[in-house]
Amino acid sequence: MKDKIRIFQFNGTSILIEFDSEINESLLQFILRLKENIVRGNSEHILQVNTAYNSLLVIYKSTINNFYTLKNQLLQLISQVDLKQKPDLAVRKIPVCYEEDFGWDLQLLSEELELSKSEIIRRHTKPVYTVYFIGFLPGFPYLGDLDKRLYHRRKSQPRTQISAGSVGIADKQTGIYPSDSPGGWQIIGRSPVTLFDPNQKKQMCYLKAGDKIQFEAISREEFESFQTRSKEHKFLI
Amino acid sequence: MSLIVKHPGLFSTIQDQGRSEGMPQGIPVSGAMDLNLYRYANQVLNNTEDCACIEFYQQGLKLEFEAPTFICVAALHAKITLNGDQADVNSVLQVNSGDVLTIKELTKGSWGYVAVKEGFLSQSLLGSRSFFKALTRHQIQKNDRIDFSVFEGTAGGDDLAFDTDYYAKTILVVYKGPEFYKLSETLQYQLKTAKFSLSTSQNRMAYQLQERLENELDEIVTGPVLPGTIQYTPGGKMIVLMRDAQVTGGYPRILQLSERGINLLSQMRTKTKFTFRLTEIGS
Repeated sequence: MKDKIRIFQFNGTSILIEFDSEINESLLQFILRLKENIVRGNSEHILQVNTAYNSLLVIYKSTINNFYTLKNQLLQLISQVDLKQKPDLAVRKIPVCYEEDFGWDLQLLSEELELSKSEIIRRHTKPVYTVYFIGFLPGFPYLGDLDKRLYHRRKSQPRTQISAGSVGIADKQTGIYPSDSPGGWQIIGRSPVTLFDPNQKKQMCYLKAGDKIQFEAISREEFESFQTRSKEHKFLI
Repeated sequence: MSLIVKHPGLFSTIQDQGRSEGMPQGIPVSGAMDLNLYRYANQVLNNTEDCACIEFYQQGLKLEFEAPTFICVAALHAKITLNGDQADVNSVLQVNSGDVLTIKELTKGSWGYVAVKEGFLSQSLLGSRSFFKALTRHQIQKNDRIDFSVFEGTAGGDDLAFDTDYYAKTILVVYKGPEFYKLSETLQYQLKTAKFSLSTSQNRMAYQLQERLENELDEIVTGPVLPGTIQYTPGGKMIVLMRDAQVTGGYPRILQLSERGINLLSQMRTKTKFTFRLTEIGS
């Protein structure tokens, strides 16, 4: 992995580390370990580290005057990444109601993909997805490995309002809208789980990079009873 | 004590220097669009740098104070009144209980700041009071009460000359973005020499440029972005991400504005022409 690294000064206070390799679980684990090493080794100099599929942005507290020193430091930290430590593989179940009121585009997808609705639901709930990172909106998880038969382009005209909890498909991705937002994803269901709650100061975001999740189909009644319960216990599944 | 918002103006929010944590949860940095002007407003009142201000756009903000304090309205140029009488921007103003401040119009620039002695006291989340829709209130609204500490000292600060030269230039210092090297030499040359202007699509998340450059690049693997990142869309449009920018993006990042460049651009109005000066970071 070390041969394909690019270390690039992004602005006056930040450095981008980018890996030119296939996006997969082992690259994700490498990036998350590297982030830990960077933060642990230099916490007094580092403001925050943001990660994505194949890159990390390291934001320092003060202006970078010595890029090459920092670059060498980062290269050393990269060489010290230890992948032996096993990640937490617990799977969080995310209930989703795929019924008509919520699965706005399920019928359309069923026609265009030539799959029955129940087959779409089966294929969507089967895999264990990995959260690659949170982006786009606060709490929005970028999930890996959607069933290839479910790939579908975005809407040509984005909707002005998609409800919080909506589960959608866009190209090779699936994800959940944590809050009401405009958006162009094909909506197939809705989850009653609160993914982002600014009032939960200890843990605003239900998911983080590296987490494993699986969708679980629920009925309309279960959706409603879940919503009532989750008002009392945020994040509790 | 507090002030009452008699008229909220346009896109008025509470802003400070923004959030230094939260990106891994998808939370933008936020903070004052023009951090230079925001910092100046606080300096006039001898405030610390993190004292939250009211940020307003163009015109129409009207505030009634319920307790005595000192304020500073910072703007490139503006018409403001205190109790109906014309008042000075960029200076220390004493206000008493019942006084009404009106921002009639910004005559230069886009964003202005109302600073108060020791800062406004709205809710702080992840180390910042900056408004951001998913986290806090969206915008200041009519009849909102905004808290501040009563200040009964006799001197609110020292008038401090406003550096108008800072905003005199229409040259924005930029650095190469991570995907700059993928652009053809022709496009690189155009970016370095052509004049650009802002379109009417402007908000705290992004400013879109008017001109299009024929697109050559595919989308990238989604990666981190920051305020000041200039994205290049498949349609050839250039989008300058501003303070409320999302934390990741899938469009090629062709340029990165310097901090000063972000401040300058934030204050430009539609159709103002500007050029980029491509510079090595740190030089």
